[in-house]
Amino acid sequence: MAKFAEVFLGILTAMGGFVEIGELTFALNAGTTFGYALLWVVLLGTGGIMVYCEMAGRIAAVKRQAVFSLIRERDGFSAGLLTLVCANLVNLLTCAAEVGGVALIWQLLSGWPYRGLLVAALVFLVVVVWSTPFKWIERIFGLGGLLMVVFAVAALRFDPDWGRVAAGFVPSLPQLGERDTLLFAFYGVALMSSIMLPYETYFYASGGIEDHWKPADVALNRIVVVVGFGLGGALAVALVAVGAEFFKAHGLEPALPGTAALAAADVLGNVGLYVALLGMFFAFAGAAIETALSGAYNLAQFAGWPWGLDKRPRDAPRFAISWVAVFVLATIVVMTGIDPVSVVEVSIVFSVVVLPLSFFPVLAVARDKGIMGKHANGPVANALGWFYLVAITAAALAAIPLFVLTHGGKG
Amino acid sequence: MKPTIELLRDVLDHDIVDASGVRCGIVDDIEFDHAPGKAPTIAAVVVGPGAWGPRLPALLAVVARWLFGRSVVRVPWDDVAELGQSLKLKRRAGEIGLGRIERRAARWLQRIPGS
Amino acid sequence: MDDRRRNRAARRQAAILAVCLVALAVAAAAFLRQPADENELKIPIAELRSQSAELDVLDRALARGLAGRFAQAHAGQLAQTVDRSRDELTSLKTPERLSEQRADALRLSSPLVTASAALHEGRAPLAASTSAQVVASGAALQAIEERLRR
Repeated sequence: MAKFAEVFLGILTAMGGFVEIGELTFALNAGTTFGYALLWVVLLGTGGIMVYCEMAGRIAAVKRQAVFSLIRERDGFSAGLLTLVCANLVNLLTCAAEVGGVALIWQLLSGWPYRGLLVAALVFLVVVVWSTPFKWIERIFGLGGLLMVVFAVAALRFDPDWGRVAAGFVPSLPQLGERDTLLFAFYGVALMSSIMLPYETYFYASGGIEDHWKPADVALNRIVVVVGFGLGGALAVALVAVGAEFFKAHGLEPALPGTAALAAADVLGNVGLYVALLGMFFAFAGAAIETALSGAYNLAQFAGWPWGLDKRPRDAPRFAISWVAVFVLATIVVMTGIDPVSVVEVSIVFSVVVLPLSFFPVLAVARDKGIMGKHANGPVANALGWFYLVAITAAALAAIPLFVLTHGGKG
Repeated sequence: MKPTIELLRDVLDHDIVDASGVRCGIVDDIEFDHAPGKAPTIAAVVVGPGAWGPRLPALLAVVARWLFGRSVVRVPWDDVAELGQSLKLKRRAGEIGLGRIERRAARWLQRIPGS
Repeated sequence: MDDRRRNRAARRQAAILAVCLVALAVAAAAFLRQPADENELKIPIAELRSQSAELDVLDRALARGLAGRFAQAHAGQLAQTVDRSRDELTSLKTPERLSEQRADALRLSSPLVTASAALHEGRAPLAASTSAQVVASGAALQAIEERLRR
């Protein structure tokens, strides 16, 4: 019975933690600009994050090792250091955007000045992570993020054309002019990247070690990943639908969290409005915490420091200082006045470039029978692992040229 | 321990855990005994910026030397109790000289409530 | 011995890095110095068109009972994005053939500034004339955008 509750909570937490400010913006704008034509990318990205989190989680359960110590072991010191620097830069930028997002939401709820709320958000996040056990952090922000389901309800209320929705799941390139094809390709890469953000894998695997997973938990890990992330992907589909059904008709390209809330308010009134705002708060704050902790996990695992929120800060001091430092630096980045949505757009582009470096060691270890024994990849996991590695490498090569050619994804 | 071990795979860049189970570093380099006429054996594992710095490309190695210095801690192979996923030591980190920075950071952090 | 060789290699690598950075900087400067073309001008104009649509949606939602405090705060954030888009529009270096359209767009976007300021201060819903101007601006901005697209 307890196991069932744990699986159930794990699924809900994975679903609630799926959306963050980058994915929210890209999914809504994908719907606004291209209707349902990019749904197959959401499907592709959701499959990808399932495959790699399942492998990383399986490695954490069997080998008790998290992603960055794998990276150093398999890729060597120099390549590992390069991956560390790039991955943590992406973590920092993503954390900055999420902290900015939290401040924006608080401003929408209170009307208080943005910069003051940024400092308040920093203090709030540091105090929460410092004083709350890991399991409670996971639960509170994961379950709170489930309030984002209000967008799925709104999407259904908009009465979408299900024929067009279904057609969107078939991989295709719509007939567009040259410029719009480039923009379509950019959105495809960015949407996939925002779903497969590497911090999710780092955090998921390190969290598995924090939760003391054992080889017996491999099956549980698989269920949580497939069902939880699957439902999360459904939420992303709902966001695309909201873009296609509401914003597209008005010619509105959402660039603020409040704009997303307007869509919920349109069909669900003020209740929908406040549920959406609260859901976004938990989603953004949860993502800020996950990215800051990922940064600290990565650094500590690479350098051999003791790590873990299950330890008191004095027993893992450099780890504790690391995640506080990420929060502080992230807040400084958004304090400069730079718009959080613009920050996350840049971090999403660079994150896909880093992705192949992070995923290759995970695949290499997961399929190694010498290490994983009977838990090594079967033919399906192997095939999917290789397929996605090729796909993200292609996306990684295309990302920066597309970003430049489309003037930062705007046209 | 197994009679032959793959050094690159099973020793280098693996975690080091001391006798009380505390993580205290990563194997940054390996030191060999070159007795003439005999096969080389491991003398020690080496930990510290002096050990991993030189593994970087020259420019970064020089920058690392400026920033972090050349200090190393030498852990004699005799102090290694077990070779598994991580290297387990026979003694505690403090006795061998590992984990000094961590302990200093811990003393600094203790001023903050809740640590 | 090792150190000397390493220092030499480090100097070599530093020189190569410096050359690459300078080349990158020169290329970036040349790229940025180019005058804006139709596609670049289209971007802030599209943003302003979207913002006018959003002001209209916000105004109508307020008439239907949208929470006032949220609307005021959101209008404030929206006003900042309007300012940012207008600043970008002003700072673009446009060639002769596009300067008229740029001036038009700038003129059309000033009702957006007044409307967002009004909503931010809680003067909701907008006066009929203001909201009509916002809608008209939106349509006109879209027309410019379509012309630039071709």
